[in-house]
Amino acid sequence: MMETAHAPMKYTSIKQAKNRRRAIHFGLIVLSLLLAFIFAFPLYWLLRGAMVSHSEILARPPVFFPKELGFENFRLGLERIQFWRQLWNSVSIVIPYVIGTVITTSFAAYAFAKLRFPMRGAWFVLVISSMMLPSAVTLLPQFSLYTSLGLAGKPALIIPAFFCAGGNAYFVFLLRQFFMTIPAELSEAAKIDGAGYFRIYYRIMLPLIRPAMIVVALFSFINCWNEFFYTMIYLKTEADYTLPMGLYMVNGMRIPNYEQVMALALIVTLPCLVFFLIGNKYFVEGITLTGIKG
Amino acid sequence: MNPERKIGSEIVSARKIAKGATKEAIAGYLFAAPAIIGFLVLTMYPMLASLYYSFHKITIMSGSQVMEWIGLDNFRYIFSNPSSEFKKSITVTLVYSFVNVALVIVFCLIVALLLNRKFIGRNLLRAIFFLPSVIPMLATTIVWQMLLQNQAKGGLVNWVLLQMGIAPWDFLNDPLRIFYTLFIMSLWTCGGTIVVFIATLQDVPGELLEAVEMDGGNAWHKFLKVTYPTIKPVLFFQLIMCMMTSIQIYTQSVVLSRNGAPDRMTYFINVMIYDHSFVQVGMRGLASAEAWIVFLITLVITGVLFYFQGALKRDDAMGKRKWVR
Repeated sequence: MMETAHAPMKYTSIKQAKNRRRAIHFGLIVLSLLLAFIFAFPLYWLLRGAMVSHSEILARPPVFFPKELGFENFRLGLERIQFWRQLWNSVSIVIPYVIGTVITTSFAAYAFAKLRFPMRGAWFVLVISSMMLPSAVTLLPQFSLYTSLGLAGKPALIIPAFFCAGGNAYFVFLLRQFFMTIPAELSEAAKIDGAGYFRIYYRIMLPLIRPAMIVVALFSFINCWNEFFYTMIYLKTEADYTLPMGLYMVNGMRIPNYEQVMALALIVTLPCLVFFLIGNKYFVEGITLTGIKG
Repeated sequence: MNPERKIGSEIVSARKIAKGATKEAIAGYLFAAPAIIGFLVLTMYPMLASLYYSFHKITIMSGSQVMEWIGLDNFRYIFSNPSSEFKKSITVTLVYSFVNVALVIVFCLIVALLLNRKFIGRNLLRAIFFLPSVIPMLATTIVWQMLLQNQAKGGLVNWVLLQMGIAPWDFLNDPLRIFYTLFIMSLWTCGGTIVVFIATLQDVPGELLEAVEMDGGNAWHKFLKVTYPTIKPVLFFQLIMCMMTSIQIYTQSVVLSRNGAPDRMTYFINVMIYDHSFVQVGMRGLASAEAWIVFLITLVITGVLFYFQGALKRDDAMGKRKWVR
């Protein structure tokens, strides 16, 4: 510490020190810009790949700015999968999934944060610890369970959302952090006015945690839309496939036609991009507010 | 005031409180019911069933499962039979996970520190770093496959290397270089962690940073004495979550290669267990045993991480907390 304490003395003037400081600041900004450019580039490449012609995608030197942009690849790509059917499959899984997640995770989070009941702490730890469980451990028995109930298929992908299972335990944790910040006086006042617990939850708590609920909805949408491991297990016929699985099929074909694969990849990515643009503010704010700050 | 009346009213209110407490407990259980039922039915039961399965040989006879008790044979097979695929699979998975966690945490921290500086357009940059993390892993893998593949097939990175006079790298078929590909993709999609770190860095007390500076401390001192203690709990949480997602890597492997090619280097645990459960016949008991060993390993890893976190905390409490209020 002694040497460093005298470090500023090296500079002949404060001005020099300031200049040095500014140079470092500037350099770091340039570094961030460079990194951001590298990060953004693959997305541009996806966009380009989806628009260029078959000959251009393999051209050497690579075509960075294609002269003609066409949507032909989208048409050809869509012809290779049962697009409408698979889109419907994806949507019909995602919507109930998101609804189930939002309702049950907020219920559980409210209970764990605001209501006193025996074994509350123990249940909370158990529910939360399930998010650190490798999915492989529960895989087979879950599969047998769903099969014996005749639910192995779409329902098996939706049902977990209604029971805070799988990755959703994380949302319980997130929302609970948020509920904890709401002062107890609010619900006590409502209680004195004769409101029941559901009324307190619905009328007072929900409006207050709206930003966090939007975050949960957005994240669960993206998680479910991108889900691949479980869809591989539960969806067996091509008619049941979701869009990502359709894309997977085309990518694995002997003649994949990369430009068509890229077009399909862009289509599969599109809802996520749209939700990202709508929700970016919420994502960042939500994470900031809910503070996964243990 | 009449003292008797006061006592009486206290009894009444105590009863009222007791009644209210029961009511609250019932309400609590009702609200938590989905989570509790979910835990019991979709986590607890499958875990125990999986353990039970692991002592069996499970075959499918005319459409229905036949279970035959074979004791510890599955575990014996996993550890001592040379044809067992488990050891290689768990090794590559753990090596991948540890390296990946280290890379992701360090990288995210560096980017978060960079984006924590004040400059115009930093929100746009934050969005750019976050964006790839919402893209389906499948699409991510396909894009990077396009970028990294053989330059004759249109791989851009290899073309750039060639222009620079470097021999092209086989990113996708070389047993070791396939890991570069996986790490690149993993770093590309870690925007969520960056956002969390940026959010946490906002909690770092500015006065303390200034105080360190006044004492002549450099950037490293600032980080070590002020920033690190503040963000440590979040760092730790992200570390564990990253570990869990790394161990469960699946999509990247199946998109990039078949059966863990090249040389089974990407035959990760989840790929293997999926394979043994649903592709191969008569290996479900074995798959359950493998899954349970994976579970025990992750338990040990999280246990160790928690232990170190606790140890560090105690260290802080013993006088090193000078900077932390």
